[in-house]
Amino acid sequence: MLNKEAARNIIEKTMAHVNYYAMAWLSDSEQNTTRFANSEISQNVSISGTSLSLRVYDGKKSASCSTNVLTDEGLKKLVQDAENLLQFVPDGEFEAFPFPDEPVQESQNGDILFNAFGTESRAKFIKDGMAVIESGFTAAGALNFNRQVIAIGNSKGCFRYTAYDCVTFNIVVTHEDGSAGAGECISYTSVPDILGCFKKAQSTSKAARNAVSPELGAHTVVLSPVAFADLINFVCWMMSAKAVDDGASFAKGKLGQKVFGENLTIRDEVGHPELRPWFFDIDANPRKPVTLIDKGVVSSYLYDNVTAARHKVPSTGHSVGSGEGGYAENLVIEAGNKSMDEIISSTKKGIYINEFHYTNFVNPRNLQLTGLTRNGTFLIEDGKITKPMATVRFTESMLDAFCNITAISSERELVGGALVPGVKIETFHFTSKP
Amino acid sequence: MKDLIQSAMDYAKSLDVDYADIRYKDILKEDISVENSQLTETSNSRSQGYGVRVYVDGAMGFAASSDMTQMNETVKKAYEIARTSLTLLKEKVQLDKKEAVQATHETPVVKDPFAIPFAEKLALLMECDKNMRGTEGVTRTLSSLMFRKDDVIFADTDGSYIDQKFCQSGAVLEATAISDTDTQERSFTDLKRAGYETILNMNLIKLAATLGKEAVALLHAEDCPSGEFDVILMPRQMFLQIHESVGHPTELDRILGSEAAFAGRSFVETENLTTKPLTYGSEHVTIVADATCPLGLGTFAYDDEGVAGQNVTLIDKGKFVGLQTSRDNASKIGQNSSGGGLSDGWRNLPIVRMTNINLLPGDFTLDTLIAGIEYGFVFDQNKSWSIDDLRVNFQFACEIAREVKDGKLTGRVFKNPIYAGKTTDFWASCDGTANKDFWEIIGTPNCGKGQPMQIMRVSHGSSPTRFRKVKVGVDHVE
Repeated sequence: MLNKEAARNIIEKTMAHVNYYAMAWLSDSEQNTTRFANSEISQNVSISGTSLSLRVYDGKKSASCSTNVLTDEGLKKLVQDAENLLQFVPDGEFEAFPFPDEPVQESQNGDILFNAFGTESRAKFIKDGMAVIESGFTAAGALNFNRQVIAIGNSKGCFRYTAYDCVTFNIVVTHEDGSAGAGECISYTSVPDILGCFKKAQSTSKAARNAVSPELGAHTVVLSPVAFADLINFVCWMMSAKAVDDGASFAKGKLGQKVFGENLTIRDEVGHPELRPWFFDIDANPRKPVTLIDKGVVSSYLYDNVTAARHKVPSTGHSVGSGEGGYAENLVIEAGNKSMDEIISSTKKGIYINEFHYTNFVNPRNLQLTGLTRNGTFLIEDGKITKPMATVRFTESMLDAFCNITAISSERELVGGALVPGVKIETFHFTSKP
Repeated sequence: MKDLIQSAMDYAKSLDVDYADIRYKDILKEDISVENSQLTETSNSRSQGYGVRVYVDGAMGFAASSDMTQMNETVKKAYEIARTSLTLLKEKVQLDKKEAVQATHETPVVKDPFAIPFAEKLALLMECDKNMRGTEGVTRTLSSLMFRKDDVIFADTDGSYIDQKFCQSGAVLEATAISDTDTQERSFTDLKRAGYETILNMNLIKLAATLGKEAVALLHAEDCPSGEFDVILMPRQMFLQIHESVGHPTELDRILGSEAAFAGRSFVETENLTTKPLTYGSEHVTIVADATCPLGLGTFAYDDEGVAGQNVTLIDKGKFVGLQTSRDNASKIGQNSSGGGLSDGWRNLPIVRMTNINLLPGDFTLDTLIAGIEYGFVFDQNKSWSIDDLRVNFQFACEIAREVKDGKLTGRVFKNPIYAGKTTDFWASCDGTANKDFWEIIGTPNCGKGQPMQIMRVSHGSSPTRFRKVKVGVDHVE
């Protein structure tokens, strides 16, 4: 992986050729994935690559080019192509935004995950996990170890650098009769409990056999952190100021208004020790902690430089580039005060959902989503999980559902880079079944 | 480059591999976007690299790099990864048989899109923007052009060397109308393996005006009624219907469980080809995976495993008869690859991907299809999609519903049409598709599958197609 000086050197070599103000974005990555299916290793890959994007500015004109040919000749051509393109473009909306001078925390690639997740170690983790897979069941999944370097610099010598490692694991265990259970984990700092995922997927798959047919209509549901995170992501995508401006978001015109129940608070917490250690955004702005939903009230949108300038507010440091506005990278959902076991035991009749599949907007403006259950859905009767339930489709507005959250778990799980509890929702509509 | 690549394959042979192959790809892209009358994106990119796949004692390893000076090291890395895969291997992978091939192929291009002056492309987008905004009430507009050239070289230790050059041109238009409580959009996306001439054939400027008018009309329209109705799906919805309910379920890797932990599985079984025949749809439904048809994003001479592009029938007059396969999984069911082993770039491993999954045209005209409906709708342009893990239960939404009454379009439109069904029941309810004059192939750039995720470009051809007694709307939501 490129260290700080090597990354700076590539950007400086590029900037030596520019005749205009310019910014450059460097990405260096290594992705290692061991995939398994039918309880054997099925794909085993290592991918490495480095690429550089350059944007040159002339007043309100700008043009962008990128390449992964990082030879002297390749860098020179990159600059020539961008500056050539600049001759033909009309004025855009804004001039280049200043490179922020606030210092930001840097992170480095570490040794813990690197030493734990080499090619042979990944195979061993999977082989060891297979020991818990019982006869009649098969396991499929992927163990990934990724290393990432990101550097941003400009033609005036400003520079930012960060690097981090990440391991992710997911598994589905399937019985011959089609029942399935799943587990997943992610970590940026320490070795996660992969064997625990194998065990959870195996036990869930076993418990999911002989599923009963679901009843359609309104139900009380208890969502695992994985299932709740799926729904929360759709809310957070719509908190981008760009989505609001485009008219796609439920939050349009709702700043300061209560849209969800008082027990729902959603924050983006840069620097949280369990979340991705990346402290600046694609605009090079420091990521700022933001409360998106404060006790049910729309508290802030997420901004990049462009949307912040349009709204005449400071950027929150959430640029994802490409003019797409801001996106939360470090989501934290406020925990409740009951354990998941207490939430289930307090439910007279309901349905526990481990995971949703193929969730999508029906109508983003009213946050209506549809999707299906998979990998472990169970009836709750008189406070106990009693029977597995077959796949069922939900169609529901989160504006309604998140006003009907009656319990939030005290335990939270790291799901796809977000820290999320489980919840109980009193009214949740199942609309069809296979 | 040829010497470099052949040297890498010679090195792979020296490692005593069962088999190795390499895909070198050099990809050029140009993207231009005008949003709300402002040029918001002007970007050219180049991505060059190679991926090496090695089989050792029946186990596979893959390594990819953009460093052209490290080709042998990358081969060695793939070899070592393959040896590690032996740690947990129940059954040695057997690739199907294929001949060594020396070949070249190039997308037929009339106008090289990269040679068209930037000013001409920008002027087209600005004109589209202006036309979409010609209707009062259009609040957001987006017009984009995207072009791509792939220079692809495949070589393997069996002696194949295949050099292919692909050219892709595409456009996006979006017109959005917004009120305090609602947002309605009309959009158009299409990409083809062709030159700039395909952009000119899209009639974007005229289309832009129509999209603007319809976006505003939808904002003032009523919601589509719920119930059971006869429905005609236009090609811009058919492509999604085919993609989700025929394309993915007939991929052999899904059927065999390789995607169980990510993209999902399939209700289709390999036995449906032999001992358990499956009726997939009505006699009007014949669907092929055709890598040979012009203009498709899945059109090529050879796939990323060096297998010749083919036209494979998946469903023949309603009967399920074929699968989409790649070399490693085709051999598991005693077949040869259907030529569906594709990767989305140099970085990734070839896996089973759709080529061009096409519903063959029927005998109807659009008017005769409409004439056969007492009361129903014509649904156009997909806007939402969801289908279960086994690809049975789907729920799709379109941008616009056009009312049909007594066999004629009334001119009335409804917003938010949603329909749902079960795959084989739905295709069984198809009672006609329009003829070749109404047939079009539509490309989409965003089919996700695999870990690491690969985003593939696929096309689907179809004509307007009629389905009886379709469940429209969503029940059970109070």
